[in-house]
Amino acid sequence: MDLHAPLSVMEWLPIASSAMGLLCAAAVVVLSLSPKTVRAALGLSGAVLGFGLSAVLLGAAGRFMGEREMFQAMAAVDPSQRDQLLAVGTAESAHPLSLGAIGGLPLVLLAVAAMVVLFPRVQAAARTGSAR
Amino acid sequence: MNESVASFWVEGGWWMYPIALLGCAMLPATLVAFVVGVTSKKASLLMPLAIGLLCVGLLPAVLGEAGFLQGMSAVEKAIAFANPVDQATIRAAARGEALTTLILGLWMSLAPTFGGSVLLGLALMRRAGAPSPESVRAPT
Repeated sequence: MDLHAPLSVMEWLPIASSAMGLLCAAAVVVLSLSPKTVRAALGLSGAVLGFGLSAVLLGAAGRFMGEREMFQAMAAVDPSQRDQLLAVGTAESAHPLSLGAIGGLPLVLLAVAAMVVLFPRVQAAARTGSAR
Repeated sequence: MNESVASFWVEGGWWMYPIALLGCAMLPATLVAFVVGVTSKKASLLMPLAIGLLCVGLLPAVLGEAGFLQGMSAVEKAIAFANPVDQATIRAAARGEALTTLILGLWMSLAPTFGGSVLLGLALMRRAGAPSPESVRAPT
């Protein structure tokens, strides 16, 4: 991937979704440190999951939109240039999905891990009456 | 802009109608699930709502994939009767058109998937904070 090339909208959207998810994930980590705010951290882990899944979905949508444009262009170009266009187009249309997967999948894993770890902690805190 | 939206819609064929209907129905369903889930005092109501929203929210994407596969299958059948010189051109153009349903399905899945995930977090938060049935039960 050429890092100096300007990113398209469909590449920015998964990045933005991942960035929002990262902010929420940081808030989950900070909130989970205190027993009094661990319940809020558990609630916020749903937003992390949502942003992670959205990043992957947006990346997939971006990839297929890129492929759609590529195939439409392929039908119009000279047959001798098709293989070259297919190679370049496939590589370029994969950028949004790779960005979405790189940003989104760790967020999904983190959210699921937070839910699994924090749920018993909140239950225990609710029994003692210290969780908000 | 309008022309590109119209051509996008036409390229998708009849699959665009169920996908768009389901996707449009999912938006108010997500809002209703939020309102019902957040305002309801029953902590147990949120969890099935969240899981249901997550599962049904992925349906437009699944329908889009079905539309894409059906479109490609129809193209492959039709291409057998085409001039061999034109087959590559037809296949490329058709593949581009068939991807339309998948793209719409993925866009339509976005809101309910995000809403379902947020609702799942709220459901877990409420469920974990709610007193267990054993502790609520009156002492005998």
